[in-house]
Amino acid sequence: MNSDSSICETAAGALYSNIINLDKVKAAHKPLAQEQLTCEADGNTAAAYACLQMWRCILFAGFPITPSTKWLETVATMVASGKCGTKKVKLLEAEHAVADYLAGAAAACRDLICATATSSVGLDHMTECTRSLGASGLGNVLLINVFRATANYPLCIEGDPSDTLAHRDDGWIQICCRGVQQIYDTILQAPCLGMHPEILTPVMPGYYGIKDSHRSSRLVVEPDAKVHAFQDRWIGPAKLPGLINGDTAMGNCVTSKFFQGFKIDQKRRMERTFELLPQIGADFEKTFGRSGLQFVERLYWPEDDVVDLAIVGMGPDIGTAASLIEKEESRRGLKIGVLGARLLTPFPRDEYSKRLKNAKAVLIVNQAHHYGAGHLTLDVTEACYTLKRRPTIVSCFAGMGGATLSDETWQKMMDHACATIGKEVKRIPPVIVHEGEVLWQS
Amino acid sequence: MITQTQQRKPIEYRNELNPVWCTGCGDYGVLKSFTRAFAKLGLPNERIAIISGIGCSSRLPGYCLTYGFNTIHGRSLPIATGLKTARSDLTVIACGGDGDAFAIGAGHIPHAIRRNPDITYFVMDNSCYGLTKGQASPTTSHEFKEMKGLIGIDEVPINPVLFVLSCGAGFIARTQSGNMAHMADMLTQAIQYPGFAFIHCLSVCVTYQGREIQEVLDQKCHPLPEDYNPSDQTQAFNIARKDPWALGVIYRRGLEATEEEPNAQ
Repeated sequence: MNSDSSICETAAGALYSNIINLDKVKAAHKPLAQEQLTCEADGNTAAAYACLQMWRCILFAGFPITPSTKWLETVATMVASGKCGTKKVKLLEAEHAVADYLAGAAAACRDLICATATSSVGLDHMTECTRSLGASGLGNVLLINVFRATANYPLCIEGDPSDTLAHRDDGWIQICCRGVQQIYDTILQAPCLGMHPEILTPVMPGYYGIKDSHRSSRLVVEPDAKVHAFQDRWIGPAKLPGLINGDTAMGNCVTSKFFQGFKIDQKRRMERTFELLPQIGADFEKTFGRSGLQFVERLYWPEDDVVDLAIVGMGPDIGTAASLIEKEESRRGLKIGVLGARLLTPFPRDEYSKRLKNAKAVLIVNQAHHYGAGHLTLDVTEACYTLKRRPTIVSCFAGMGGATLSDETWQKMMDHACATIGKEVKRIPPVIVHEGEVLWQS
Repeated sequence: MITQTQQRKPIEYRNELNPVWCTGCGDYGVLKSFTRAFAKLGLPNERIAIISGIGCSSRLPGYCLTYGFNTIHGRSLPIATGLKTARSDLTVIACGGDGDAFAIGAGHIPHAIRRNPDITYFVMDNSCYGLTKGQASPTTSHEFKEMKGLIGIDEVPINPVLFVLSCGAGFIARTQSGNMAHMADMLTQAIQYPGFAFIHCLSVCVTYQGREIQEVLDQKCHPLPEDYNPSDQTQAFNIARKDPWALGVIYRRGLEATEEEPNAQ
């Protein structure tokens, strides 16, 4: 791992000595946990702990915005206490400055992870740079997005994934988490994916603001040494010393002749996620004994994939749905399955096709405002398009702006979907459901 | 502190690309002054990073045989600051035009100044948006807007030197694009200054201002008075307010850079 004296060849063929001594950086790391610990933590704290435990993650930048602020506070407090070695926290003047700062730092040293967290308008402010970063090849930028209703009027500080879904085309790998432990585990795996030499794409893990960012539960914190051993299996020293000419799309200006080539390369790297994500997830599970990264979380799902009604959603509320299914199955006399979306971008359509091939109806619960059928609905519908027997797609909106999804709401949405089973239905208009009532129908 | 490592020639810092600036553009002179300064300091090519925004002048990193970033509108300073934080061994120069610096990127200048990273910010001020065909920029004078019929005639232009001086910059110099030796000298001093250094370069857009502007600059620009003391902030404020044509180091404060690198190098 010592790259102090190594020589790197640039794309142009010039040889430069590598400056960053990774051995020294690693040696300067102070562990947060010498052995496995169990504590109570909220989602932001869990995300901060995961970042602080990575020896490569030495540079944090941020600008406070609810509900992600506690991530920044926790990181800053721990770093200021001297408990984390020589890490550095930088409070910038705005979110776009944060993204730019990270781009500069990450480009200058591709072996180190540069991290931030933001929400809603903060992510929107970063847009000018996130789209460049998405194409840059800078997989060492880690942006934790704490979901919050995005900048559409009226302002709402509660969590829905409209912010992250509005950035699906920025070129980032987007992963949705639910629950404190999954947040922690996902962030530990994210750089393994983004910094993998065949992917080199920044990662945006995300979780629901308030519902998960501020709710505390049991968190198992793994020993730093074990985290490092796991990550070191997937992240090797970057081939290049870090920037700038020729080894990144960031900062290049090209004509149309070359533009499409960049985009094809970007797509190619992004699509490697489909092969590598399950491998990283399996290694994580083998190492830590908990589920690693997956395309979808099968919360309540039969091994043979045979269901009458499949429910697809994301975030903590889909866990509520899973808890109701046993009762609903016996009440309705139907087989019902629940899938939780994990990988949002690139969208794992083949996985959805495989899981939904036997379903008669698919209820898709969208929690982000959308003028069409819903972001998740569009992707899942496309995944079902090539199935020999296409299920009826039933699109519902619920929980927008972080609204509660009560048992009655879930039952109403299931009533709506079950009513289509066994009938010839051409199109079911999307509905908005709240507290067991249909508030709006297209 | 920069130390000279070996005898270098300016041409060693130029790549094979031919600039696409208009004939007579002030940016040619700036490019030459950059390579002269690098050669004078004997900087290794791979220890230089030039970060720009968007605009005619922001193409400059593309013509240098150094590391470089042609970034996004107005964001050269936060990117340069992040880069310098991660790689303090590099000589980092941010550059761009007056629109990039004082319109879309103006919000970053006070913060870069108060963080005081050891970077140089070189602003090529031709008082117009040349790349988009000559609209008024934040530094365009009333007279010029009136003469060319540009919108924003009732808007007061920014005084760049007064602006950065008020923000607390530790090194401020003014130069002009028709005087390569002076530009190279100012840049050399700015690179050697251990903190945030600002250079205001009066420049020319031959296409949208006219070639005569270079003559105007040559006639009006003059050195600072012989008895001028650049460590006197009061004198610096007087020059910034009253004399837009005085060239030289307007202010220099003895202060170390406050940004340090985070890792264990």
